[in-house]
Amino acid sequence: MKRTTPIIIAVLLLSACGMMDAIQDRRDEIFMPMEREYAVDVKIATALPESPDRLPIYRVANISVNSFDTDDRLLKLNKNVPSEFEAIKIAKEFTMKNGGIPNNVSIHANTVYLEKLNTKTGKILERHPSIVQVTFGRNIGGMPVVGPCEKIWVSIGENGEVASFHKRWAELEPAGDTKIISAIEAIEKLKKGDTIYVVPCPIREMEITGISLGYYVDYMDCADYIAYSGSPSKAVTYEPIWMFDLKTDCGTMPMWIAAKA
Amino acid sequence: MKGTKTGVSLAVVFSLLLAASIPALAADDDATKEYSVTLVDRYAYVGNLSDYGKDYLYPVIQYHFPPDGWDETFCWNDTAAWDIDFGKLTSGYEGLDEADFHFHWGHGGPDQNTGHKEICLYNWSFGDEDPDDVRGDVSWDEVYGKWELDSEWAFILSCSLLEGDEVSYWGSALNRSHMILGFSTPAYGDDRRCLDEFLLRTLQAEQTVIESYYRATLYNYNASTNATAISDTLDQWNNDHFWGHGTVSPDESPNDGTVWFARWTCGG
Repeated sequence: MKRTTPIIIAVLLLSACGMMDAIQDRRDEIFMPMEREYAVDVKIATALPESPDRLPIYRVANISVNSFDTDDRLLKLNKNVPSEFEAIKIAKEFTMKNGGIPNNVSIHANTVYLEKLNTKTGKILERHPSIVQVTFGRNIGGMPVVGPCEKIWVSIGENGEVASFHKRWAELEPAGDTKIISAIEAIEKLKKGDTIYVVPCPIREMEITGISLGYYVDYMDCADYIAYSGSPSKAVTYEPIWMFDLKTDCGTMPMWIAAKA
Repeated sequence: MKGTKTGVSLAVVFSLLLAASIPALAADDDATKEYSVTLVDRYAYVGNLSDYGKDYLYPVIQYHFPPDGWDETFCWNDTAAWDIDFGKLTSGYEGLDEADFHFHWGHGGPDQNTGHKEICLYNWSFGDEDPDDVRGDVSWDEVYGKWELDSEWAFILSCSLLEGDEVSYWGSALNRSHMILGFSTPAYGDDRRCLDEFLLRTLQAEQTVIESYYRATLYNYNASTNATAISDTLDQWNNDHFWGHGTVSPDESPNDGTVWFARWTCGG
């Protein structure tokens, strides 16, 4: 972008924020470059997996939603919250009674604690288990389905009570297959930042500690399908992705790359 | 943003899914509902964020707040987002402390000297920027005990700002302000969807701020992500709703120097 365009940039900028009043005058807009390429140092610390030439894709035939929340009982200061082992049992039993548990799911449980902290000393003054969150996710052909479109979330609170149950689950049908890019090609896309989600972390270095295949479906497509059931604006498809586990100077994190060639 | 259709879709889904409660309205500090926004998509020395804030997050804010009667006190982007917008002054212009709700989008990163996580502004340079640069960074000690005017809730969508002990440092900003919502790890997930769900739950389903944030993050960020919420008092943690949508607990006065917090693994 030319240096002669700061006024245009400023106008666009202010328009983007929906404000054009006088208070903006105090800001001294400076030249702002468009997208720059920043070199990210990428190291591979894991074996590159064999990649299949093609993988199936799936189309949503139906999405069922089953949900209830007990008002104001999440993340409270509780005294008698079950263990994660017990919570998984409770969640399974509850889900079985509410539409059943689909095949090929993985289960995770995490306890959330509510803590009181002295900000002057940094000392934890109180620590109370609040809920155990149990999550069921789908696997396809041994590969996890990621993204918020489809899961079963069960929150277990005081005395093992189910404080919240939220199930979105799709009925899938085959929709052909697609050619898959190799892991090496996916790494090239990773270097360019061509990832499914933007991460608000300034990364200079990344070490790839894991590479695997999975499936992803866009939530907005999903929500569109649910709201306009029977006449969604477009087909909702589950498509393969490359999933990277990364150690970065910003922390450990995943990044996902569309695997469709 | 797919625009109105998507918004309507989500509203329909959630109005079907959620039962609304209508507790009584408490008194606002200045009797007006206000929000402010800072979006830093572009950086001089580190990677850009592809205008994601301007193109995808700000439209979500605009979709929800003005129709609910909230006024925008400011929205500063990129080079126009300065450190003073984060409430580091306690007289004159007080930035985010002049609005009830503040939303920030941009990098979070470590200061090279102190190691503390800070909010990265346009000129942030891996924690080695000029400390006097208004476009450099915002560190916890600049806002220590400073949020005492009108601020209630700040949603800081930046990676790892509330990591580990940072909760006690950033939590100390809550003088009369109520909550900081953020992350203690890199935030990997659907930021737009999270913000949309958070505002649907607070403004339309009238859930508490904490419950809304918990669900919005749980459903929309990957299991590698830990979200964190800090509240000045337990009453605020349990009872705070957005203005006009339920009870709001009183500001803490005098400030007792303690906060309540939780961090959780997301599961989207």
